[in-house]
Amino acid sequence: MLKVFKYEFYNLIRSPAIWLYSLFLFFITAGFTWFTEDPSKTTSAVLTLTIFLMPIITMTISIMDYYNSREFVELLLSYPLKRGDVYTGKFFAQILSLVIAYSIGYLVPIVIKGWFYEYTLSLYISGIMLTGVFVSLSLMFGVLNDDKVSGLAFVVGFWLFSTLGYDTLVLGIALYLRNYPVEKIVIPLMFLNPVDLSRILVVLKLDVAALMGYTGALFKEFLYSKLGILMALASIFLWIIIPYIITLRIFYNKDW
Amino acid sequence: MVRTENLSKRYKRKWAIKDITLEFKEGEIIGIMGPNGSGKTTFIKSILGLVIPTYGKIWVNGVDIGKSTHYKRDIGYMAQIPRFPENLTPTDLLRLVRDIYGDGKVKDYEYYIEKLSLNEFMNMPIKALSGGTKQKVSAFLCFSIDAKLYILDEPTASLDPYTSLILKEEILRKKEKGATVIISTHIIPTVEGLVDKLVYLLEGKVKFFGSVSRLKEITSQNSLERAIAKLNHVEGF
Repeated sequence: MLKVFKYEFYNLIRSPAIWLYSLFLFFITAGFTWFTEDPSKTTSAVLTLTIFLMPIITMTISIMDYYNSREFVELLLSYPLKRGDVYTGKFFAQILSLVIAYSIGYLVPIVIKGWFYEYTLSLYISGIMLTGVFVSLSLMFGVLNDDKVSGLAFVVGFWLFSTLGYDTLVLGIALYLRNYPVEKIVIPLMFLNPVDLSRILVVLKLDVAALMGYTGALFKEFLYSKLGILMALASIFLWIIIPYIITLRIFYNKDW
Repeated sequence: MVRTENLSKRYKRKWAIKDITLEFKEGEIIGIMGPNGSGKTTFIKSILGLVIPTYGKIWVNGVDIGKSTHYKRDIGYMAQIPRFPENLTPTDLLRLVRDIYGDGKVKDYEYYIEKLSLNEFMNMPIKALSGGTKQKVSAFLCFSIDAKLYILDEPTASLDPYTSLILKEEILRKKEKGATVIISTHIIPTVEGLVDKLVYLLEGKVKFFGSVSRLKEITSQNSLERAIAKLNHVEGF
């Protein structure tokens, strides 16, 4: 596994797409830190943009890398390597290179400003975990679809659903049931969407959470209890592990 | 060296290959020929474990390949379309192969760098190389492995005649060392004067298996080209 990981990583870390992504994050974060002196406002602005754009960028890089390397995967599979090792090597190489790009793009401006707060850190950690989720999902879409166009359609579809569609749905449900204690339904629903979950984890650390009123307080109480944090982590890890296992199974039985 | 029994593969509704039972001996050069879509690549990929047969069995070196990937240590494979990771260099790829097979198994690489005149390209990223050079890199990686079986899928497709000739010489050198070489191609000059035996596939079935001279004899043709053309139209060999 490590042998595949090493060379896949060498290849990705030298690819312009990874560095463009890093540069893009750098300009967003640096731009916001430049224009406001309020770290909390900056974080919420960066949060909105990152959480919205990061899925589509990381998933596109990940799935295109998979499609471009299909013939190479074929060559690797003709070598005395286990199929699972070839896939796992690629999986971790993608995660690591995207996390490095993200870390440089996001952390450099934050460190320059010296903004070491709970919410800047929780945004950083959420970003890393989301990278894992998106790589795992986009590789699954790639391995499931031999056709590039349908693979990308899945990526775009998932992106729109998780960043926009799901929220609309939750909002609709909350409005419909507004006469009942809504949080009992909304909290479990949030756990089902990794994007919403990480957004809320960061937002609750910000002062703006106060604006969310009674429900916001309830959220905070639950999410930052031991059980809440554990459940949030478990939910994100399941989003990484379940697609990974599904992909591994398909990968083992796939014809190249 | 390689034995298949009723090897069959079905994609959706169509059989790509059906009931292929063949045996290749050590030190033989085998040409797999046939029109486009006749199952050449599927057959080769089954031996490599890239395609999982619908039914049937394959033995390489006496080992049932369904059981483990270890048999691949004795195989060198040259793929039809060499597409390596764009930002790696041939040197990186050589390191990868040495990492996987172990230094003891990859010894002759300097000879092949020289022979295929790859010296100046060794530290250039793959994306800067031409199609022909990429195919040379592919041949170089394949031959650098000290294997007992070499599998070449359309090895000369984008090579110039001079390099094709070098490749033919190297295939013969591997045969002298006792290796078995399987070449899949539809380019007749690639196999002319090189192969010991020919497998002719048509619609996934073996239409002919035997020596070139026998093929010429039964089709009563003098040139390989005409003999093969005749195979397409005549029933029952």
